[in-house]
Amino acid sequence: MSFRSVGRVLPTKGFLIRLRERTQLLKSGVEALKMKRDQLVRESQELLEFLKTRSEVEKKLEEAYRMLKLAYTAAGPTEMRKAALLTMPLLTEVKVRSVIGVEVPEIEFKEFHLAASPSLEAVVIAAARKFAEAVNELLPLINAEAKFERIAESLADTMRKVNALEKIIIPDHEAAIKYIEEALEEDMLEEFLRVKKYRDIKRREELG
Amino acid sequence: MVKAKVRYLAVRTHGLYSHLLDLDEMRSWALIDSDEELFNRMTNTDYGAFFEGPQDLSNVSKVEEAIYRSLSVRFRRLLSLARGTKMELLLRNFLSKYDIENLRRIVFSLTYGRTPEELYLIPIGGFKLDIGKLSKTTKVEHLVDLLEDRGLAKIIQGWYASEYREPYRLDLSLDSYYVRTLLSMLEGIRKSVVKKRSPAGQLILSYAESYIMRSALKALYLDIKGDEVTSIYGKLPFKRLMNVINSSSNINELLDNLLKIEPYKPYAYEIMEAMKEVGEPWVIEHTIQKKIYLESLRISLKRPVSEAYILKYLNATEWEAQNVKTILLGRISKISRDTLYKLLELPTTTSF
Repeated sequence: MSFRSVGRVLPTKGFLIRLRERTQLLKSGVEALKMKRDQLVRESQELLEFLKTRSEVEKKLEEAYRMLKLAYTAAGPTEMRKAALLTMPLLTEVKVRSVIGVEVPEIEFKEFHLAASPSLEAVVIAAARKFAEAVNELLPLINAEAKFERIAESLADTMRKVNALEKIIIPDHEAAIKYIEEALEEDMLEEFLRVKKYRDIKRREELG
Repeated sequence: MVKAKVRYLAVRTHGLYSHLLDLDEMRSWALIDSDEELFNRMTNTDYGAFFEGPQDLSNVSKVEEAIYRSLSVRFRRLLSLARGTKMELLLRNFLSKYDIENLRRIVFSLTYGRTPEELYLIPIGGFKLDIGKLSKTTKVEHLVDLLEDRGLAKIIQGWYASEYREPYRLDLSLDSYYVRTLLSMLEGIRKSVVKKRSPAGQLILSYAESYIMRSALKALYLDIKGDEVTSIYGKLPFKRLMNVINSSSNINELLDNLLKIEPYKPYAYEIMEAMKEVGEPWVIEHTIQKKIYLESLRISLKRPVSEAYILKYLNATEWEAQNVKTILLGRISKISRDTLYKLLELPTTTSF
């Protein structure tokens, strides 16, 4: 006899004991996965409020782009190129943090220098500051979004596992246990009848 | 004889002034949608010669180049008229800010440039420094050796030798040097080109003060403390302004303090309004340029045929170039007409 998630089943006592142990382990695994699922749901719910700030950050970016356009208009391309020359490239570092066993990327600013030159036109400085402000707010949001994405992926994965265990694997194991128990009971009954018949024959022989 | 030469120059400057654009005409450009129509309107002005066709009005580089070249032509024309007079030195010193700006760009390019092509110079210059020769240097040390103006060389050398090479230190030192050069035209009785109390002297003092105010406003906007700014400037004759800068720790404080002083009040107010509206004091240049223009208008009226009028012409030229740049680049960037109008608005002094 074969069960999809158990494999070939041997109706022996040893196999039954191993199967019972395995089922017990699976049940405690389901409990642990449920706890992880609940924790992941809590974590993602905590992030939800923060993720709603995206529209505000987008608004700030829009403002920054508007200011950039104005800077380009008032200062001209040569001045903008000078500002670009004075701006150090943005340096970031990506770290990986573990949240309930889920690996989450986290970006940190290593160096973030604005073009700090009073010789630049104020409108250019204003555009740079607007961008810096927007980027400063964008970064935690990016981190939160990446975290949420990973948590959501992990949550889906965990729920799939819990469902598979609860709906397929554990029932399969329990069915296999039941099958072995029935088979063993049948064997025992057969054995009992055989012994009983043997005793009857023996008794008849002694009397006869 | 000397006075006659200056008078002659002033009269010729009146002629040059008549070539400047009328503000209403300039503002009407902001309303023109078609490049062709605008091109036709511009052909009759000094800028027309620098555009080959209407398509050039959509090209940012061509627009900027045309404005700079027209500015340069006007400066050169004035300098050629002033050749051999005492005014030539004053004009060269006044215009040396373009040389200093290009020098600053060369230094920044040599210090921070990632490729040799990253040298963006303004096509105006050569008033006191040979920018062509200086721009060919590949090291700051060579640049310092090549500089004939030892004052400038000392500033660059000191900055380059400093530990952090903060751009603002170089900027403020160069600004201070430029203002000192300008003010040196007023010092001494025999040597002075113009007398301190003459309208031209007043105009130079007012211009220098505005120049320092603009530089300080931007420095404080960049979160540099007021006392640090004044320590880099050194001793300058604008006691009231320097005290205000010195006692301010950020731009808001500086604007608040400027608001308490009558001559600075309207300009501080205008910058504060922009801050309220946009959150950033992005109009500093525009406001100060306006102040310079209005002040030069006011002072030059005292003596229309004098050195003051010649200096006023320079300020008016710069004001016009700034406005034309704003209109033409604003059209390309699709800035709304309202915003462009607001930028070109020139309030009368009585409206404050």
